[in-house]
Amino acid sequence: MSVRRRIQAALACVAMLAVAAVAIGTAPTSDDLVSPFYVSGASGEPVQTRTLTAEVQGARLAQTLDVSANESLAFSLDLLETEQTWVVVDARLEARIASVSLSNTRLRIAGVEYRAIDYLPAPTLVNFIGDPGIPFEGSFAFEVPTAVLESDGAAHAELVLRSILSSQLDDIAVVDIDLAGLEVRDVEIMRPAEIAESRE
Amino acid sequence: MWTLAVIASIVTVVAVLGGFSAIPEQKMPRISVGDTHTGGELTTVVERAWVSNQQPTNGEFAATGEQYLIVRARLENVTSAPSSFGSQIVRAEVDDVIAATVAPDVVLDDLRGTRLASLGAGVPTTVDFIWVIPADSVAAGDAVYLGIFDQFRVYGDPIFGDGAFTRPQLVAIVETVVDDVESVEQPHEVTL
Repeated sequence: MSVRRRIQAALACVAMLAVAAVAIGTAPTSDDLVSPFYVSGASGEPVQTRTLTAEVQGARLAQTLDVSANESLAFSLDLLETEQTWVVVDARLEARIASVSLSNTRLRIAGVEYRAIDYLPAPTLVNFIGDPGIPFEGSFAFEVPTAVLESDGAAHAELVLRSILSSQLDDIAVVDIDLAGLEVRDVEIMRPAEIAESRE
Repeated sequence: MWTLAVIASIVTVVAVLGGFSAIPEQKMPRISVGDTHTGGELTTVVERAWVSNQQPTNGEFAATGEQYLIVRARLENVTSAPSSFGSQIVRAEVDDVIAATVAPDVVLDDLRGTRLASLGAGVPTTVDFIWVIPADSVAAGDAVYLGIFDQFRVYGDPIFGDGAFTRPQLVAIVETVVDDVESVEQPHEVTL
């Protein structure tokens, strides 16, 4: 093989290695390949995913949660305190295909996720949403550092309605919520999940 | 002949480099009550351990012939996502009473008296780890060893991808003594 041919072969090898490096570097990860599809919407508007129709009706801030409406022999507290701030998000939810559990629902502020409290007795929006076509209304509650709610990120909070089941390659509803400037009340009432009146 | 010479040379080099030295014993880090231990997910400050016949905050009494060993710690999630590791982060060992492998019977959020749920990012939480033990088996002044555990993320798991964790591993020890129950603040009243 002539010197020229050898140089051409070496350059071809280098070029192929470079292409392989770019392909590996830009290839999606295994998590990317099965990541969910986020369906975004604004507060006050219905957001529809494959399994759920969700509408955020508003948000409230409080130092103490009144959970007396959630009656249970196994849960004796009426008031839930926090050293931080409770964020209560009121929502109307309707399953579309089968009943849905949203026990992994998160509030996302500036890239940090806060999980909805899930230890209140049923019925809550976290535990169970009824059969398709039957809308439920109620509240989610999140414990969030007070300083976070006073930051710029509070104006661009997101409610991420996630099931405890795997959401790979499935829809997830994400609703924008503006928490900036909301008054922090002493006590806010946590609404149990109840069947909502149907809309005409 | 040459082969033996090469092997002898390799062994000599390994010996000179310390390859046959005794492996130094790695001692588990020991921290004191009140010190902050920073793990991968949570910071932990063990505040105290005591015995009582009543759980803090919710006031639940122990059954006849039993009492509680209570370990109070302040935990804070330093990640950007909820952590469910809080209830596993502290274990206790007391001679002939509690083995280090025994999980607490109850883990309470001290502020509300409810069972500890997930810990929110940046939300410091006082947590009570509670073991049910025979009455009079532990008294004020007895030694108690507290283990602080951590878990580490596993990448590329065939099932869970990058979302898996190792089993909890001991990363630090707090050696202390059981407080006198009389020195512990009495449970405050809970609205029923």
